[in-house]
Amino acid sequence: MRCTYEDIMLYWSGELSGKRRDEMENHLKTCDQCRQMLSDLEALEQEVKTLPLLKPGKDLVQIALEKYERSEKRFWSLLPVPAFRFVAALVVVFILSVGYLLMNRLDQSPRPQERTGVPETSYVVSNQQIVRVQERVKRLEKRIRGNERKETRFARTTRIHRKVSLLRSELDNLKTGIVESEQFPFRNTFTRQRKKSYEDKTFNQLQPSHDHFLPLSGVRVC
Amino acid sequence: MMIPDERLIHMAHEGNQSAAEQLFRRYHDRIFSYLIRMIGDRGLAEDAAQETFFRGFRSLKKYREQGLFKSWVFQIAHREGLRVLKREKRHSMIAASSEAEEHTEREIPDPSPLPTEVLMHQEKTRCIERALEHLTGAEKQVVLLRLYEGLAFKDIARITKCPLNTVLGRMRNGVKKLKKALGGEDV
Repeated sequence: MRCTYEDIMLYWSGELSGKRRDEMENHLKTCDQCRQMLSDLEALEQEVKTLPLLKPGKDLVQIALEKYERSEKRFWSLLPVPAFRFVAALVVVFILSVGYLLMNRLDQSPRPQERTGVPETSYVVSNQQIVRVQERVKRLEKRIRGNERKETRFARTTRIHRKVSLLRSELDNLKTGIVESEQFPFRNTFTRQRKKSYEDKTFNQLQPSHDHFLPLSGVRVC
Repeated sequence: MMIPDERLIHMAHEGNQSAAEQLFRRYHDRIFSYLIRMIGDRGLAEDAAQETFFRGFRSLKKYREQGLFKSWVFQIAHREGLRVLKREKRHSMIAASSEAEEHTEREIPDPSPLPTEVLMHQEKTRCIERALEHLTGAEKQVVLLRLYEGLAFKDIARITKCPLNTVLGRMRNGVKKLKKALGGEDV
């Protein structure tokens, strides 16, 4: 058996499992060195156990118990009668429930765009933005006309048509938004990202429809 | 007849405050002795022991029997001792021996032994206290919990929150240093 000092210590403290303990007992019968180590440990234990038990100058358990009782009574001492405690507990539960219900109601209240029925970007407007969109629409229309002359490929023209129709609807929304924003001036900022994401989203969702195209000659719409 | 710890715990769970008090009173001196040897200052050891009992009273409701109650109390005491040491940044154990010696001299209550026997006992105690000073804080904690309190290594591992092998390693080093110190002083 391969014996370590740790095994001897565990055997000494009675923590070796049955099989290992039997092995160790057999080993100790033959190994003088291990027996010596074990007896050294036992002797040391006897010596250390002779150390006196030190006593504190005061009754620490009593002091701790008083402190514990004070801490327990701190809250309930305000309400000495059990009936009051019950009522206080009911009031706390009621306040918490009302708070919870109110929070839920606030969460479910319609957002500004839901109330107005106007897309979020529509009431975030400024004259500069309208002018920018108008200029963009003009530029695109110009490109469409140029493409017509050049008889460019169908797909590209269609994309431009879509873009133009999108921008026109955006323009309409912006114009409507001027009126709405006066009624609900909730938000006065308009980030470029939000505008872009809205455009992209709307552009991607837009299905090809004849209504959205400008009447252009020489363009076949399918 | 002494009521077993388990019975007292059961009574304390049922709301018997005096059972809880009796339970902690059993470990009053043991906890204080461990803490004074660990911290090395009487006042701080008293504070730590008091806090140990306070936390014990507070947590006794939540205590579920998983091993010895003694190891549970020592776990709280050990944590309090470490907290005090951290707060005071006092890892020196110098004061411990002088304090212990002072008590040894004061607390030999039995007048029957002969003066020579008393002197020999005091001298032996002093030697062991001095030998314990050679150990590091962690080694001293393991040695005291095993040799003085008689706790199992698994319990010590739980108390000190260390792996069993670490505890065994500390015990090995501690025993080695202790034997060397005691041998050097020819006890």
